[in-house]
This record gives sequence, structure tokens and C-alpha cells, in this order.
Amino acid sequence: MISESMYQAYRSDKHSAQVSSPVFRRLRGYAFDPSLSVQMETALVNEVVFKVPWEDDLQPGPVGEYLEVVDYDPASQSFYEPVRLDVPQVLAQDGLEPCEGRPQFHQQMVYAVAMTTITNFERALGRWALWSPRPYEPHADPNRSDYVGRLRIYPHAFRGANAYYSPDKKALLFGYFPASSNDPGNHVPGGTVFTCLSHDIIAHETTHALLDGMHHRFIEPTHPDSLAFHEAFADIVALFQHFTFPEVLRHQIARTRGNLAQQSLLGELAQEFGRATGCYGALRDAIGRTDPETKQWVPLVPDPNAYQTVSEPHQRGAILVAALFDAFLSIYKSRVGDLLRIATNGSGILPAGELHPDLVNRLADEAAKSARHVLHACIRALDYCPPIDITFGDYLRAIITADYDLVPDDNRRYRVAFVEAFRRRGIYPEGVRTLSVDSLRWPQVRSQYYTELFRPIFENLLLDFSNRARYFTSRAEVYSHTGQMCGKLHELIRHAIIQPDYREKVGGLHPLATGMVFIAENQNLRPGQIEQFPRDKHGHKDPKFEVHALRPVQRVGPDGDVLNHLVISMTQQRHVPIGRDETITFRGGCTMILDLKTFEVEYCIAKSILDDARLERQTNYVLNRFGSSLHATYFNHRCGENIVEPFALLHNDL
Amino acid sequence: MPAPSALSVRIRMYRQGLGDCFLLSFTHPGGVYHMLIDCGVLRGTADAADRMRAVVADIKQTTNAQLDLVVATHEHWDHLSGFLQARELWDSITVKQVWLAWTEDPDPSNLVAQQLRESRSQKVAQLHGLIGDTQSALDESSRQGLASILEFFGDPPPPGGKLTTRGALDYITAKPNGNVKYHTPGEPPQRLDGVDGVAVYVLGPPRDTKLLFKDQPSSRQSEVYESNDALTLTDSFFMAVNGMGSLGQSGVDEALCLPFDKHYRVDPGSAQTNPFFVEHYFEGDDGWRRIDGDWFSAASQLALALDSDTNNTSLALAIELLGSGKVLLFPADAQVGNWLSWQSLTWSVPQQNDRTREVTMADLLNRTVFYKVGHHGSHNATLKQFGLELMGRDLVAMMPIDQATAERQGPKDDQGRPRGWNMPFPSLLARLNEKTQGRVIRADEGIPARTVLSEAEWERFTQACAEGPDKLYVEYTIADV
Repeated sequence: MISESMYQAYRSDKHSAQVSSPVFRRLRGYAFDPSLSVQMETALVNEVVFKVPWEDDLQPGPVGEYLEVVDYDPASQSFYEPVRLDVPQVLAQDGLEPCEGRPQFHQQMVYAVAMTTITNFERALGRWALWSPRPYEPHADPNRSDYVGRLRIYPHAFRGANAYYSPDKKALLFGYFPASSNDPGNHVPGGTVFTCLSHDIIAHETTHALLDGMHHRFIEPTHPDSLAFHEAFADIVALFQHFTFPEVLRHQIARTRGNLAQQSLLGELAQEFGRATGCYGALRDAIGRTDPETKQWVPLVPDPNAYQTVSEPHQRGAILVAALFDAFLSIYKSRVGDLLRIATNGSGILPAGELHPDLVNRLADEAAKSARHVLHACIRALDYCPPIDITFGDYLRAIITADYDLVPDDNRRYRVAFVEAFRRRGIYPEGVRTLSVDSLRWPQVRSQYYTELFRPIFENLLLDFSNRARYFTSRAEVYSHTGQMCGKLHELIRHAIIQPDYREKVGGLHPLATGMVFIAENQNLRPGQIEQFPRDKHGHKDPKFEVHALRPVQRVGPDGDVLNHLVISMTQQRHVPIGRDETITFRGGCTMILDLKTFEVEYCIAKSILDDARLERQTNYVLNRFGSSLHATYFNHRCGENIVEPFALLHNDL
Repeated sequence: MPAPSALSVRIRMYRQGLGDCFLLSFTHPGGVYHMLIDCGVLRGTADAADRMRAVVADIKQTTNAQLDLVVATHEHWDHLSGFLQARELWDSITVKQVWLAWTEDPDPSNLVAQQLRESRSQKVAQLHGLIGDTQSALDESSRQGLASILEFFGDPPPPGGKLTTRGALDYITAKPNGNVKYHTPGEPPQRLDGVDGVAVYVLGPPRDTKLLFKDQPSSRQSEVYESNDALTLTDSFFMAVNGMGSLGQSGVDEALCLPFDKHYRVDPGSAQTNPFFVEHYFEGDDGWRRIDGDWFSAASQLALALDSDTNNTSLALAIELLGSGKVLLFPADAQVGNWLSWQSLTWSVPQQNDRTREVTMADLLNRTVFYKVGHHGSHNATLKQFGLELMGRDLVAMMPIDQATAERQGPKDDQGRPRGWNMPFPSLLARLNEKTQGRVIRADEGIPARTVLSEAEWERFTQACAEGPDKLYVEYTIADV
């Protein structure tokens, strides 16, 4: 006899199946953007299922651990109900069906692509991603920061052909606009284009936020490369994400017969946006461009002078994107050489006609693998960048060094591919004698100074930190704990340099080594310079400095080597007068990479605060950077002043 | 061998502030020919009307109240205000002829010009409406930025104000009793009535709308505007500005106003009681991430595009002194697109001996000895490679700039100081000084001090210069030798 209560228990028991949570949440969306779904050739592959990590208590919005999608469209005075991805009807059909006319699908799309991007980023980095903290308010204590758990996403924030990451609001703002009637592409002229439905634009903007979370100072425009790097990096992540869609990849490999140097969807960014704003082709293309006159696609020939002459951030960034895509193509070619020979009886020359599906699959595997390796190398390199004032040359060195550390035996010559691709575009790091892989690697630190000065400090600091770092259960915990550790390190250094014997040693330390001046009587300071450094609020006479970040790095290389590093970045500022009543904030600092096995400093990647040449370059750049636009003429910005929405400005023409 | 010419031209730059007013007096064997290029000062200049009256009084006196030609380059207040501010004086001056750009041609067959003017005045009105609407979520800094760009069009359009750029253009156009010429680049070089030995080449504004506009109008063929209902970004934006309040009223096309079908819409009132929006938007986090006003940033883009497009309709002229081949360049406020369009221009000039002479733009630039710096020395109104760099060795430049005024413009920064306009642009000024070897005559500073030129050469230069009383003007004379 079964009682009524047993029935009730049976009906209400959600866990009777005893199944653990799924690994992925499957969500439908566009691999590129809606414009490709109305073309016969691409319609089939354009609709993909994103497999995003399952979040157990995903709220309507979606609002999860990393993201919160809030759909408010102030220009239309409209809010749109949040999508509920946990409703069974939605779950059972892999999310809502792709549909331009339904705001809830837009919410699903931004969530799916942004989560995919975050996941790829974390996978390469080997740790949780954190958003950049919010400067603490009220102003009484400007050094404290607020933890920002979720990036806010507004899928319909404004009317305009633009989308941007707002560092102030920690939010992505997507616009929508009527398509240009010059060349509406696949659009009804004047039909609405939603930037939040473009995979490339979402991935690009999410990457801006991820990069800002790691290197907050990279949004400061101190060099023609600074903002260009931000743009390029965002493009790279969006581009290589194309290779994670197997159907798209196979389709495009079959279409180009394995030659990825041809025009393909894989190397293009934001087709719909490009066409709808009257660009005739994709907004950006890593390997070629559509000639506006003939409408024909032409491959891009690397221009060794471009790096010297191009200054607009997107165009300049395109040079870096092209270089990295070029490196990817070389790697892909070398990986598939044997396959092509096997398939062609050794000739390597493919016969006319379609490729065998098996060959397409194998080529697609190799392309996916090459893309993953290049993308991971690009992301890992972020740990090896100086904390401020990055240049493309620095980035090349970071890529080489990061790759060297993880894969000491470069039997596939990946690093040569990178160096060659940069050389072809005239990107040379400063202060490097030859362009060999060895000389490009950051110099390893083998100095007694570091050992004597920093080792006791680090040993003290790491007594409990590195062990605990393995057992964090949430991103908030990581954030608060590393914040405490930064504070502790700052205190330890501060305490150490007051000791007389220590002080003497530090006094001799050239700022070239750490990029910073720790004590007031540093012998390298010229008269008057010490006055330009802000002092500590505790009334020390020594210059103020900041422990910017502490990042534990644990990675396993392909040969099973385990890397166990701690990345520490420290910075400092100086207010240098220029002109009549203006000053420029000039920063110095370093990224130290500490081997946790030996407690030795492996690398110290520094930008010196006393580097006069760099100061002059930055001054020139800051004085002239807004030059090329009318916006600059009327909305003049003072040097060093924070700019409202730097990326919004960047993404506009005027 | 032609006889030594007795022709010379004196270029008088008035120093009324940030604005253009140039009186060119050609002395030739038959007399003196007076040509005025623009007459205006930026809105908001202190005592603007008094200053302009002083300027026009001097023009009247110098020309004996007889102007042979007035050129009104484009519809911006800092080029036209004087026609209204000193109207009583102008009423007593005879103007024999007026030149305007083809973009001002009222002929109904000139569709592009018509629609261009209509769309311009519509946008000005809409933007004025936006900054005048105190209910809107537009933040103060954007409002100031917009307002200061709109100053270029004078008062708000009627019924708000009387002194508009349109009004100024209408006034001056009516003066010469129908003797008004609308000029198009590429037409044969113009003669000045009764003057031998001067040819005027019309360089811009370009006919190609691609080069003319930054804010692409909705045109499918390059020459004609679409009049159908294809929405432009501007339309979409202003529909939001103006239309949302009237949502729900009959006659408002909701489909065009809203990006989604209206049943998806949750109006702000209902949203304030919707738990999701209360938690994640209204109350969640003390408002620092709200975006209520952010969408207005598009307005400043539109205003800039409008400003740039209007500058680009500048009637740009090159004046050639035939005896010596010297060229005087007056680009008004032409922006990059206008400059770029000149490159392809060539002219066949008939000679006395039945031959023709081919003149190219590069040729004219090479022979340029006088340059009126475009747009008060802003960066994007002087082309480098195909512009300044090609100009002649003996170059003298005049810059109608008042830096102190420029520095007071623009939105305010966090300390409440105006950000200022970046005029003159530092690196452009530096390059101009190099090119001219120090002979940049600024309206706010007058005759410059010697830098690199030898004393003898400097002497020669300063002898050709003169300053008027009370800093009224500064002038430079070029002989046709």
C-alpha cells in the first residue's frame, strides 16, 4: 500500500535520478552574426550550440557568477524581461531559438558568447578571471577597491553603430542602429543591426574587460601601442575563437581546400557590422581586405613600415593581429605538411575538386590545435608583460618567454614562427641586439641583489600564501586574499627599507632593475627629481609605491613539466611638469616572476621611472594623440586626465 | 616678355577674435578692387557686435563703401555673424557681387544642395531641442559640449532667436541685386571684374558626396538623397529623443520608434515594481552602473559630424597672380575630405596666343606663397602630404585665431575649468613655423618676432606687413613680381 505522502515525496523529489549537475549548458546562437544565416552557403554552419560551463544557480537575466545581463534600453524607454534559462522548456531545446526580433534571445546570445570567451581565457591562464576592481568610494580612501564579481552587460544600451567596454561601470554596452543604405549587405536598408548578436563583437568587448581585469594600467594611453594593444588583443581572442566551432571550421576548410591564407570566415571579424556601416566587407580582416572600388578581396602584403607610420589604434592593432595570425598560419602549414603529402602520394599537390571528408576532418583538427596553441600562448604571455606602458615589442618578448618557460623544447619551431611574423611587419623590441629567440627572451635574473633583497621578504610573505592559494573556493576569496597579500608585501618592503643596512643596499639598486625608486636617497636621482614623487600617507620621506597584483601561476607543459610561479607586479608614479601649468603622470614599475620551488626571482620585467627617453616619448604622444580628430579639437583632454569611456571614443570615427 | 606688372594685393586680416574676416585689396592699373572673404566672430565673444561694427566700419572706410565682391564661404557663425551684427553699416555699403559655394544654390534642380541645407537646419533644430530640454537625462558636461558646437550656427533657430547663420546668408545674398554666383570646383578660372592678371580657381566643396560628408546621408546613388523612409542613424537617434514621450498617442509610428515588437516592452513605470529590475538596476548597487544618460553621447557625435560636414561645404579658393605665378590659398574651414578632392583637379587656361596652359592642383600648391590657415589652426583642416608640405618656399601664413577664446570653450573638466578647444594644434603650428620660417601671422598676436630668417629677409617681410590701430587688423602685401 502506497500512502499519499509517499506519492507526494515521489513527485516532489527532484533528485530521484541521482544525476550530478551537467558539465555544460547548451545554448543556441550565431557563430558569427545573423547576416550569415540568410545566405545559403553559410546558413547551416552559422547556427551553433555554445557549450558554456554549467552554473548551478543561474538566475534570470542571465545572472551568474561572472556576468549579469540587464536589458534596459534607455533610448526606447524600454526594459525587456530577463531570459530564464533554467525553465525546462528552454533547457530541453538548447536555449531559445536564434531570433533577431526577440530580446530574450539577445540576452542568451551575449551570455553564451561572453561565457565562452571567459572560459577560453581561464583555460589558457590556469586560474580564475577577475574583473578589474572598482575604485573605492568615498574619496576618503582612494587606495581601497571594491570587488566586482560580475561584469554587467547591457545588450541594448544605446542607438549607435558602436559597442564598448566601460571601465568605470564595469559593463559592456552594446548599441543597435539602422543599416546603412549605401551597401546594406544582406539587410533591408535601414533594417536594424544589433551589435549584441555578433559573436565577434561580444568576444571582443568581453576580452577588453578580461584584459582590464588583469592589467588595469593598460588602458592608460602612454604609447601609440597602448590602446592598439588593447584592441589587438581583443581581436585576437575573437578571431581564434572561430576555430573552436567544429562545424564552421570543417566547412571553411573544405571551402578553402585547406588553405587558410585565402579569404575565409575564420580570418574575418564582424561582417554584418562592417557591411552595415558601409565598409563593403568585414569590419576587420586579419589576412586581406575588400577593395572598396572593385569589391574584390585582396590578400594583405605585410608592410615593414606600417608599424612606424600607422597610429590610429584599430589600424595599428591590426598590424599586431595580422602578425599573430601569420604566426598561426605558419604553424598550421607546418603541422599539416605531412597530412597533405600522405593524401597526395607524396606530391603535396592536391587534386582538383572537393577534399575527402576524412582529410577535411584531420586538417580541421590540426587547425583547431594550432589556433588553440597560438591563442594560449598569447594569453599566457599576459603574465610576462610589464605592468604599464606595453609595446608590441614587449609583447613579443612576453610570448617568447612564456612559451619558453612552459615548452623548453620547441621542436615545432613555434617561437620562430612568432619572431618571423613580427619581423615581417617591422615590429622590433627596443634594446634587443638580434632577433633570435634567445635574445628575445626576457633576461633571467641572476643577481645577488635580488636574492639578498627580496628573498627574505618573499619567504616571509609566502609562509602561508602559496599553500592556501590552492584551496580557494570562490573568486571573491581569491580577490580578498590576494588583496591582503599585496598589502602585506607592501608592508614588508616598507619595513625592510627602513633598516639601515638594507637601506644602503637598496640605495645602490639601479631603477633599471625594478623600474622603481624605493628610497629618497637613491643615488640615481637627479636634483629635484625626488620632489616629483608622491609620498606615502604615513609620512615617510620615501617615494610611494604600489603592489599592484599577486598572481599564482600553475601550469603543466606538454612534456609534463610543472610550472609553479608567483607573478608580482609593482608600480610607482611621478608627476613631471610639462609646459606651463600641466603635469604628466609618469609611471614606472616591474613584473617579477618568482619561482615558488626555489624562491628565486626568475625575471624582473621593468620599465624604469627614471627613463628619460621613455618620458620624452610619452610626453610627445600625450600631447599629440588626440590630434587626428575633430572630437579632439572640441573636447580637448588634458594630459593625464582620466577620459570618460576611452573605448567608446576609440570605436568611433570622429 | 610681359611688362613688369603693376599689380599687388594687400591682405587685411581683421582681429575681431575667433573668426574669419579678410579684406583683399587688389591694386591694378585701373584702380583698386576690393574682395571680402567672410565676416564673422565666434558666438559668445565679449562685445562681439561692437567688435564687428568696428571691423565693418573700417571696411566701409577703406573701400569707400564699395565692395566689388563678397565671398561667404560656409554657413558658420564665425564666418558670417558680422553681416547681421553690423547690419546698419552693411546697409550703407554697396556689394556688387556675391560668391557662394554650389551647396548654397537655391535652384530647385540642385537636389543635393537643397536636401543638404534642409537636413542641416533640421539637425541644428533637433540638437537645440535636445540641449534645451531640461527634463532629459543629458548630463551637464555633454550639454556644454553640444552647446559650444552649436554656437557655430548662431542663435537657436526661430522662434527662439533672430541671429542665425541662415539669416546672415540670406542677408548678404540679397545685397547685390541678383549678382550672386554659385561656384563648383573644376569650373574655368574666374576673373575679377575689371582686373587683369588675376585668376581665381575654385577648389571645393567637392561634388562627390563621399568626400563631402562624414555623416553619410542615406543616399544609394552618389548624387541624390533618398527621400524614402530608410532610417539613418540620426533619424533613429532623434526619433528616440523626440518620439518617446508621445508613445501610445495615435499617429506615432511605434514600429519605427522601437527596436522590438511592443509586447516585449516593459515600460519604466512597471519596471520599477519588477523584482528583477529593482534588484539589478534600480536598487542593486547605488546607481554607479546605470546607463540612463549614456546614450546621449551619440548626440555629440552627431553634432561633430554636422560641424564637420558644414565646414566641408567651404568654398575653397586659390587666387593666382598671373604675372608672377604666385598663389594665395583660402581654404576657409575645409576639412580633410574637401582637401582630398582637390587632388584630381586640373584646369585648361586659354592663353593669349591661342594655346592653353594646363594647371594642376599640385602646381598651384607649389606656387603658394600665402596660406590662410584652415579652421583656426585645428589639426584636421590642413592636409599634410598633399597640402602644407607642397607649398612654396617663400610661404607666409595668416591664422585667424584667438587662443584665449579657444581655451575658454568646450565642456568643463572635473575642476570646473573649461577644457578648451585644441586650436591652434601644437604640432601643426610648429610645422607652419618651420615651413614659413617664422612668418605665421596670428590674429591674436599680430606681426611675429624674428626667429630663423636672416635680418635682411625679415626686414623685407616686415616691410610688407602693417598693423592697424587698436589691434583692429594686421595686413600683408604681395606684389605680383
